[in-house]
Amino acid sequence: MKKAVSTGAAGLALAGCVETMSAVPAGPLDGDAGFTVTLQDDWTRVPASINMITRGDLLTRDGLTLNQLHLISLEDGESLVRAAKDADVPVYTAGMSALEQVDLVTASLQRLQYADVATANVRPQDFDGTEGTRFDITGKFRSGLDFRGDVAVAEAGDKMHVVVFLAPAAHYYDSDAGEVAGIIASADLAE
Amino acid sequence: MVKVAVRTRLVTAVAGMAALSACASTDYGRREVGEAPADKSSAEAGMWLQMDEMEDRLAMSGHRVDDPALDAYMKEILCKVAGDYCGELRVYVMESPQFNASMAPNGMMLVNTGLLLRAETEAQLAFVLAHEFGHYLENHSLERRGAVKNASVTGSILSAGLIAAGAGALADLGYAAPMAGAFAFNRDQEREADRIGLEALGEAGYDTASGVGIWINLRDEVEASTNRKKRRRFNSASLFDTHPLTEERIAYLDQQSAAWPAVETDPAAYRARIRPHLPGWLAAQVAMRDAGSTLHLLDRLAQVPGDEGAIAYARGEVYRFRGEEGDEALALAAYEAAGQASNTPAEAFRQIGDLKMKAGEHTQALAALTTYLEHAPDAADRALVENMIMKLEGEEG
Repeated sequence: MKKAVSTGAAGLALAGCVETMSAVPAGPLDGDAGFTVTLQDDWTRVPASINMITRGDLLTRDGLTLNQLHLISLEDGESLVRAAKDADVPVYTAGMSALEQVDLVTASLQRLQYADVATANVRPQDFDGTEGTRFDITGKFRSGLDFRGDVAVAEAGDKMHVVVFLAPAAHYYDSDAGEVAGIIASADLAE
Repeated sequence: MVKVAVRTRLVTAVAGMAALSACASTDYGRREVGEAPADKSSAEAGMWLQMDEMEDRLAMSGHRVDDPALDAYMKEILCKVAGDYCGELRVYVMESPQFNASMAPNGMMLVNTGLLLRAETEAQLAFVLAHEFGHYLENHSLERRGAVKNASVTGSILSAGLIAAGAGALADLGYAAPMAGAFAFNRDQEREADRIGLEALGEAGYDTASGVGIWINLRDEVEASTNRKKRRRFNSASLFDTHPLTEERIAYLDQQSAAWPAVETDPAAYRARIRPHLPGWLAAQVAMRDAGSTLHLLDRLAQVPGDEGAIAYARGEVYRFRGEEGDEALALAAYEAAGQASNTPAEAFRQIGDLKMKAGEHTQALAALTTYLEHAPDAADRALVENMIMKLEGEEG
């Protein structure tokens, strides 16, 4: 009896360590990123324990190879991509210029082994009363599949807030572009 | 006294096992022209199938450089050194700033753009291709697979025996010796590939001293690296290193190349071949964030005239990313040097503008950003830069 209880307790302990993806319904999302957004539709959240790509929140609709929405807030010295402590990866420095912020995002995607990463339509945009930068991004996933993306960056309260949306250029980008534009427009940067 | 006696017997036994494992039959001999696995159920056929599948994926990969002219050039060099085997070989240039090349048993060769960037002449590149061809010619992939498999089996048995005899802590040594034999076999293969590479180079009419040259450059670049682990790893004499130490390799190639007549090389001609890719490959190298190695490489690249702008711009980027005290001034100086040169990326003016803006030198920032848009009217960040200009003009007005 004692052995069965011990085994059961151990099993429960193990089960408590397992995180799974969870549904995130349409509406306000106040997650791991340091800002809130309003989702127009239901998404699925990838927990930090599984998200080996970036910091902050990672959401998807149809699986990470079909759409990825990254919601990230960086403090001074932090990298956008997850990396070992002493890895040579691009990091955010407080007071970076808008051009440097664009550089940070593209260089970070290149570190994720995405190829031919290029920006387009880089333009200033207001986010919740803060001047930021918005741009389109294209490239190839490691598989060679072309992707398109939408990126928004703004510095507020000693942090750099970033939204990165990536999806295959064929069908999936267009399918969610409107939803993502709405999410970006809804960003509330106040902590 | 008894313990010492046991240890001596065990060490002797282990040395014997290492010799035996290296002697296990793993020599596949030299490949004939057009040779392919006849027995589809063989280990060799299995490896070919795996490599064929990998080749299909790599050929479509986002990391494969899409440049038919470059592909043709690489194939031309490969065929010069591979002779009759030319028709069964394929070479793919892969986007990666690392200095590396590899050869698969099915005839697929991969060469990184980092290697192309570092070669000074066609002869240096030809040596690497000839070296890789040497691995193919002597079936080294199959031999290595056999040797590691033999060593693993031998090591496991020996370790079990040691543990049974109560040797405890020596069990690791037991497993290590046969594995060291397998890796020493691999180091022998690298030496053989160097020898074959050098012979192929000489027979194709290339300067054989180029084999030494490319390794000396790499050694010097790594010694300049900002990354301590990288420097240590490169020079380590680990028992399990699969490649001969660089100094040993340089000495060997230097000695072997002395037997061949010197042949003139043309760095400018080689640079012209890779010039269209230089800005992109430099950007990838800068993104590695190893300021020491990159600055050393840039100094070497600057010795061939014609790319002063691109190289100065890259230098500016290195200093900008390093961000140490004084680096902003160094970056600005490098960008300004790029601005004076021909073939300079338009981004040099943008970076000058950005730095001047940060420094509060608004008149100069305005001039630089305006020049940037004149050089790059279709710039992806035109709207952002125009916004910066508008703000500066507002302040000026």
